Amino acid sequence: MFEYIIYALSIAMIYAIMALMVHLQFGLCGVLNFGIAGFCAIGAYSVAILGKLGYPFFLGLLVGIILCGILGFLIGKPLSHLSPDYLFVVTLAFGEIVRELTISEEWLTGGIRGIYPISNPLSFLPAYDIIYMIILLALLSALVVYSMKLKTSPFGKLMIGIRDNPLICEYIGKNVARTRLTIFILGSMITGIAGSLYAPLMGMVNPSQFSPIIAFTTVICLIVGGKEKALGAVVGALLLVFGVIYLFDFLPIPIIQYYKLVFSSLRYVIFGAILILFLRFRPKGLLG
Amino acid sequence: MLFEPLIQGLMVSGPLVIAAIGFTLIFKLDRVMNIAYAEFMTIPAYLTLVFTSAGFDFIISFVLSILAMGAIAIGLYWIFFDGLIKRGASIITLIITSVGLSFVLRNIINAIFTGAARGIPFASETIFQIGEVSFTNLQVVSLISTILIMFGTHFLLKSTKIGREIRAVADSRSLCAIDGISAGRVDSFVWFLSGVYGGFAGVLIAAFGSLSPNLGWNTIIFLIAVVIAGGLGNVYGAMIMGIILIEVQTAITYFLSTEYGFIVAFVVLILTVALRPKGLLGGR
Repeated sequence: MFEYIIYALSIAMIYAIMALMVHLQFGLCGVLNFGIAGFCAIGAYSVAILGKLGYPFFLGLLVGIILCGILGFLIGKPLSHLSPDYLFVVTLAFGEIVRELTISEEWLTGGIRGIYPISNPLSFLPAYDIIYMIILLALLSALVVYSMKLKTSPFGKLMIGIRDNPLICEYIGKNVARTRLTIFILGSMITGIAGSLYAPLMGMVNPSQFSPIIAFTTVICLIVGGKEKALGAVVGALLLVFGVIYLFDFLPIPIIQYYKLVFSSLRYVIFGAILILFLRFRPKGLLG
Repeated sequence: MLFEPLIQGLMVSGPLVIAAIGFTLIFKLDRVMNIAYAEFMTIPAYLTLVFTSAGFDFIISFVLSILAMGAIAIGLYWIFFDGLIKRGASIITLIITSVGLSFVLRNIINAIFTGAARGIPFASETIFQIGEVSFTNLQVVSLISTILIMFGTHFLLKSTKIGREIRAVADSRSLCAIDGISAGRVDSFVWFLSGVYGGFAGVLIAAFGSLSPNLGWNTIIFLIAVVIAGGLGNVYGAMIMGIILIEVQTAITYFLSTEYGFIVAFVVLILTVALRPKGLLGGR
């Protein structure tokens, strides 16, 4: 039970990091990157593939960050000039395509079976899962502090201006496209890091882990928590990922265990309903 | 020869073109990129399955399902989108709402029918041959109905009263309110039509291949490529791009492998956006 809680909290923190990136891109700058599952998968598979070839974890992490940066640039460059809804649907397609590739390129990714086992880089330490969680917590806290600083910096003010009125920012001589591109690439890279950290936690990677459900859950966490607050991402992830997904699965209620498949579908019905209700009646989220 | 797959490609590009027209109609009117359109394709396909297993004839079930989808689409518009649009919600809010709706509908289908792949009970048979290429009744029906829908939509938008009203509301909602054009009626009509088109496409796709809860979601990626590369909000761009994309994809999968269909669609999409941001025929 204790180990399970540590594990669930670690997963929630991974989601919180990704939701924080959505906060920076969408909450502040108004560009919504829905390719979260794709970037996350690239980070995770980099660690897994290089780990299988005998390279250390940090090399995989680094390769993942660089790949996400390059892809973020290639996708973001043409789209940052256009209205943000283009970026949304194109990144949505991107996430699906990465998953299709992880299924079809069997020589590299192990196809539908994926790659396992992935050992934890800290596995030589005693109680390494707790230490891993503390490292995640430290990274998350650092990113939260950074996001808060960024929000009040001139760059953050510019982002908020672009979100609220891109035309005016254009008129006063600000480079709207470059600002959008910068935050998009930053978000893509850190989502890649979250993916790299997710892989050892699961102990394996396979295509079904990186379905659009990841992007969907991340966006809901942020919307529920409050999209304009850095802490909103953390609150949302704790509430939904830790609270609803993991603890709900663990409840010893026989009917839930018996109808597990139906309930896992119904969970996303409820999540979708929560998302729609929040957007309609409380668009600023719990923290407001 | 490459010629044969290209002809076959033209035959099966129909559903994508029809779906692209439906998707574009909603965008043209409401500026919503309706990701829940994926389920506008999946739901009627499952309804057809339900009706046929209840003993109805295939054609009757087909018509009933797509009309039902039209009605469902009207309902979804009034429940989920009308309030947001009237309140002046941002485009992104509308898209996220549609994504949420898409997940809700897909998972309801998942919970009822499970994720297993099924077949639509439709007897596909070869009806004629030209040289080595054989055509099934389904391909011919798909091609003919696509052409009819393309010209029908063109006629509807250009030459009828409701078509003029659609274009007027798409241009300016407030001006239409002054002129006494009921935007609500136009909205209902367009969402109905787009639900019917989505249903038409969905049942055809299910009949060409198989039916699973992800049918629509797998198609929506191509659909996004088609409507953006064709020029967002441009019905004719969507028609032409639907055919081009399928043909390019057919040619490439002929030389490489079928698994790269998605990638081709995505590369075409990124290239068009980079080189010609307004799409093939220009949009918005």
